[in-house]
Formats: sequence, C-alpha cells, structure tokens
Amino acid sequence: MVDTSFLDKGILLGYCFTVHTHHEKCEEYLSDADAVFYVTKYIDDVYEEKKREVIKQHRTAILDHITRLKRADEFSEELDPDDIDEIRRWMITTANDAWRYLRDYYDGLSYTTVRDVENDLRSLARELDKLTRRRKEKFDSRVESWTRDREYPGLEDNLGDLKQEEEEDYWVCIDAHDLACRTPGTTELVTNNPSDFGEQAYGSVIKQVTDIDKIRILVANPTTKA
Amino acid sequence: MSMDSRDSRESDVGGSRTESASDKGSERLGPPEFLGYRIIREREEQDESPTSRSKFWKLCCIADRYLVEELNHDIGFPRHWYKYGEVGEPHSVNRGFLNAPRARFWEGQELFSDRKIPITEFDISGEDQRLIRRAASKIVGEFGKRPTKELKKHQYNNDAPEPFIEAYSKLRAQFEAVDLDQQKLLPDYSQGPSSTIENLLDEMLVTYPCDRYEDVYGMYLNWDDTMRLMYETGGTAPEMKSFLEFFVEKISEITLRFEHNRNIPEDRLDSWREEREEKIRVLDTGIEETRRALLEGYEPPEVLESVSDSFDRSMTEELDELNPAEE
Repeated sequence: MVDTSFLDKGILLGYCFTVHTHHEKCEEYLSDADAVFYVTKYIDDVYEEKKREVIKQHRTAILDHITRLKRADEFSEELDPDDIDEIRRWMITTANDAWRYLRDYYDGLSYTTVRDVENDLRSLARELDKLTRRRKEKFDSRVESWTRDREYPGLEDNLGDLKQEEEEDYWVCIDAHDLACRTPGTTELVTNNPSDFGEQAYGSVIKQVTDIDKIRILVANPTTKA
Repeated sequence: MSMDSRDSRESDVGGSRTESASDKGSERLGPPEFLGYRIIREREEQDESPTSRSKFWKLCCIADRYLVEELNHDIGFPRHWYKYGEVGEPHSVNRGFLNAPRARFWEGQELFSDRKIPITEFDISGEDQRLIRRAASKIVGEFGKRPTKELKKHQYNNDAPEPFIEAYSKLRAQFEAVDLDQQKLLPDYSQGPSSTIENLLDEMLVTYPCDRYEDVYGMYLNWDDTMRLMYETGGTAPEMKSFLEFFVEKISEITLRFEHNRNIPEDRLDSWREEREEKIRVLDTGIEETRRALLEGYEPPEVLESVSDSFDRSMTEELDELNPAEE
C-alpha cells in the first residue's frame, strides 16, 4: 500500500489503448490501488502532441485510400467480391498507415457501393480522434496533475549516468522525487520500463538517493516489483 | 481560425497593393513595360471608364499569352498563376509609366498612364514594338470593356494549367451564385449524388495532380474532408466560400506560383521560397482548427467498432515510440 503514485508515460499509453501489451496490468492497477495517482503536464503534453500527429497521419491515410477508390476506373458502381479482393490487395502493395484496419473493414464486405464505402470511411476518419479522446478522458478523471517547482541539483551527482543515457527518464525520477518530498506518506513510481527502472538498471540507486519508496514495474507477465 | 483570405477584387495581383514611387520595380523600360504602357494607353483611348489594377494586369497577361502562343514571341513579361487566375508580377516590372490614385468607385486603385512617353525612352527592338502594339490593340479591343470577373472566367476556362484549377473555379462560381446577402443554406447534403457541391468537390478530388502538387496533397485531403464536413453540418455559402478561398490562396503561395510561371526573376522566387514554410504552417493550422471546431458535438455513425482492435494496435505501435526503452 502506498499513498501517492507517480505514473510514467508508458502507463498512460497502456491504460488508454485496450490492445496495448500491458493494458490489463495498467487498467488493473489504476482500478485497484488506493493511492492518489499523479502525472506531470510534460508527460501529458508529449502524449497529446504525438497522438495528434499520429491521428492526422492515419486520417490522411484513410482519405488517401478514399481518393484512390474514387479515382479507380476498374470498379463498377457496386463493388462485388472480386472488387473487394482487389481493393484488399492494395493494402499489400501500397504503403498506407491505415492498412491494418482498412483490411479488417473490407473483411466480409461485398455488394456495396463505392459511395457507401466512402461514407463509412469518412466517418471512420472523423471518429479516430473521438475514440482516443474518450479513453484519455477516463484516464484524466482518475489522475491528478503534478507540477514540480523545485530544483534538485544534488541528485545529479548520483544519477548523472541516467541523465547522460536517458535524460527523459532522469526527469521522471526528479519529478517523482519531488512528489515524494512534498506529499505525506509513501510514494511509488510506476512504470513499464524495466530497462531503465529495473533493479538491474537504475532501480536500486534511485531508491537509495531519492525519497521514492517503491518502484513498480507493470509488464504483461510477470508483474515485477523492484 | 487562421484564415487570412483577402476577399477583395484588388487582392490578386500577388504583391504590393499600391503603385508607390519607391517600389516601381527595375529602372529599365523594356518590352514588358512597353506592353503595360500600350495596354493602359489603349484602354484610355477605348473609353473613359477607369481600369482597376486587377483588370490591367489580367489584360497584360492575356496579351502576353497571345504574344507567346499566337505570335510566337516572348518579351520576358513576368506572370504566374495565383488566387484568381493568372496575374502579372508587379515587383518585377518598372511601373513608372503608371499613375495609380485611389479609385473613385471601389476600394483600391484605378490606373492611368503617368504621362505620354516617347518611344525612344523604351529599350526595345522594332520587332518587339510592332508585335506588342498588335497584341495590346487586339486584346484591349476584345477584352477591354469586359468586367474583370469575365477576364478571370476567360482565364480559368481557356488557360488553366491543370483541370484541378478549373474544377475549384467552378466550385467558387457555385458559391458566388448563391445569394450571399441572404446567406442562404446550400442544398441538403443528404440529397446524395445529385448534390452540386459534392459533385464539384469530387471533380476536384479526381483531378488533383498528386505528383505535381505532392507537398500539399495530405493537407488538401484534410481540407476536402473538412469542407464536406462543413457542408454536412449546415455550413453557409459564405463560410464555405471563405474556407475555399483560404485553401486556394495558400496553395497558390505554396505551389501554384512555383509550378505555373514565366519569366519570374530568381530573387523574386527566392523571396517566395522564404515565405513557403510559414504558408504551409498557416494552411495546416487553419484546416486543423476548422476541423476541430466542426467535430465538436458531431456524432459520426459508429463504424469504428468493427475495426477498433486493429486501429488500437496501429496507434499503440506508433505511440509506443514515446516509450522506446520498454521494448
């Protein structure tokens, strides 16, 4: 049992996407733990920016597919199974970011019109943002935002190597340490990144030199406690 | 919305909005200046109605096209495709032969010849002189009394370098045909394929030159879908016209004036290149902001359910780049 829990960015991703390798663990953790969860604005901003970029890329890929379909002169008004097979082959021969779910969309589809496909895919392009936003809203309703307003230059002597190798993770430690210093009770840093926060990596030294009491690493199987 | 469309009849000259003495282009009076001079003189002799800047430069372009295409004679007149058709490049011409006071009947300027210039002041050959006089006389005779709008239409119908350009001019004409004062709603999108707006957007979509205008292709696709969304959610003709003009202005600045031009000096091209990244940013931001506002409260039919797992997988893989150490 801990009182406060500082979430690394992988937890945000794992929670928001149901097919994420660690989704179940992240969902279970945020549902069961009694701690107050915190995430920094920085992590939130990085996620939002990257998400916007990826969604735009996927949306453009869907719209490009619609355009190719409308420009193709080999299909009649109604798409028969052969036409659908031909369209699904496009997914193999052309680089399209949306190939995986476009292929699934066409699975089992036949005797439909190009116009109906266009309507469906335009709806899909408009829905992408909404779906990811819904999950993020659920995440936001469970976490608090943490803002660090102090510097901890002394920690750099002990965590200099981490800063050198993975500066972003270094700042995650500093932010989690700040949370531990400024809130009562015990604090846990939760991540799904064993390469840097595992016991064999920087886990032990982080616990020695900071006020972070525990590091919990959530991975699909097994759950590792450092 | 970051749209800075200037919907003014005087706005499409592609440069300075005034013929100021300190900004007259080069000092030389050569063949392009002689063409301009003859055009304005012919207009003054034709009737007493004033000539707008837009009309003047369009007459110059049409006359230069006649010189190049019919008389096979290139006088080095600088022109390029822009927001409302083909336009002359005023910064690359010495405009000392023009007088441009504030217009009496519209917002902008009207153009007159500054003075009677003796032919000896022009640095041109006898052949240039003869052919330019012929072209100016023919074109002003044919087009001089027509309104600027008709000259634009002539350019789009006869000279558009890509069918896509002709297609967007048809969409613009459709919006202009709607009674703007009443801000009437356009026909219902649900009417299906018979919808004129949708057909015109389709015409643009199938004629877009993907290879030639490659840099703007992704933004164009997003603009197109946002325009359809605006239509579906009850956008008015002025709103849609403004969004169209915004796109046309930006694609003109980012692509058209580079792809479709003649005799533009290298330093002028350089100054356009310097602005290009910023224009791309403004276009991208304008489309995204408009889209975001339209999607607020918009409920698309649920399609994602059947593909949500594969969509999630795709998104996760790409967003996982935020967390590379995990792999």
